Amino acid sequence: MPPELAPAAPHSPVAHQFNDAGQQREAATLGMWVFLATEVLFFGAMFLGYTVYRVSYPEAWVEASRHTLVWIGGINTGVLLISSFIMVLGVHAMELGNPRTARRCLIYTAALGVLFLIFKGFEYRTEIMEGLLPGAHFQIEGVRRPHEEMFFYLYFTLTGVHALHVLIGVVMLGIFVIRLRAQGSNPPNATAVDLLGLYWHFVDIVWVFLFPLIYLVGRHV
Amino acid sequence: MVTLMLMALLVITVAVSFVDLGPFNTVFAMLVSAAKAVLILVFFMHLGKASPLTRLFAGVGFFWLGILITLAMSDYLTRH
Repeated sequence: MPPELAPAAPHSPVAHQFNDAGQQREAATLGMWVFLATEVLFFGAMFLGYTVYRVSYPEAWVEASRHTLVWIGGINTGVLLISSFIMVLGVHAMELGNPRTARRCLIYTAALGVLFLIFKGFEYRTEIMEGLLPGAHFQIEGVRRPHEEMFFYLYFTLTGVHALHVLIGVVMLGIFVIRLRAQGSNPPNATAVDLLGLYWHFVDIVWVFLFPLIYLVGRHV
Repeated sequence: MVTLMLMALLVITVAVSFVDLGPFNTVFAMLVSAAKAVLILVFFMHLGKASPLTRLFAGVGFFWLGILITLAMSDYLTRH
């Protein structure tokens, strides 16, 4: 029988269409990168919208960015970077065959994700109370300013969609934490945790670009 | 270690944003962001150890983004 049709060894986790575990792992990784490429498309369109308006209304961008809470933005960036580091430790622990250590790492990663969302929620609340939510009641220091309003439209959309991705990541981490419990019957394997890590790092990269574009426009002015 | 470098870049990017470099503020901030992204891609996302095919898949999305922004902005920036 040709090798590709031969059954895998009884205890092997390799699906039948793959020659070996390495090929299966590669296929899974490629699949995740394809998904991440679609995420680049998703966020990229909004980044383009931001670029067009920033180039068209540079002074309004400076004025609007001054009303963002740069310290919270900066702390949130640090929170995500540290969470990515802990996620790396978790993936590494799975590869070394330490699911209990990995589980703890995923818990801490998810906790930092929740912390990010709490800070974001506080930020949103402050900005909405200041009248910075685009709509009929938008105002910057008492004045209706359409171009600054456009900045905040992009701000809420970009950071809101990003926060949704963080929330989805936190939920996935939670699911993996539950499945990795001591007597769990269906724990995720090292590849699954690795792929979740790729998703989490990608969400981190999006924020790394968002941070200066939202919070650091014309700070020196 | 990579995480320390990322945190250092974060501090640098915030600090430099308060210094007036004119149009180079944006350029510098984007370069720092790109550097952070490369660190995350190469080390945290294992692209440093990945097969050429994986790196290609990873690069394609960002390459497409470059095309999008270049073509769209070449329109807007040449309007009078």
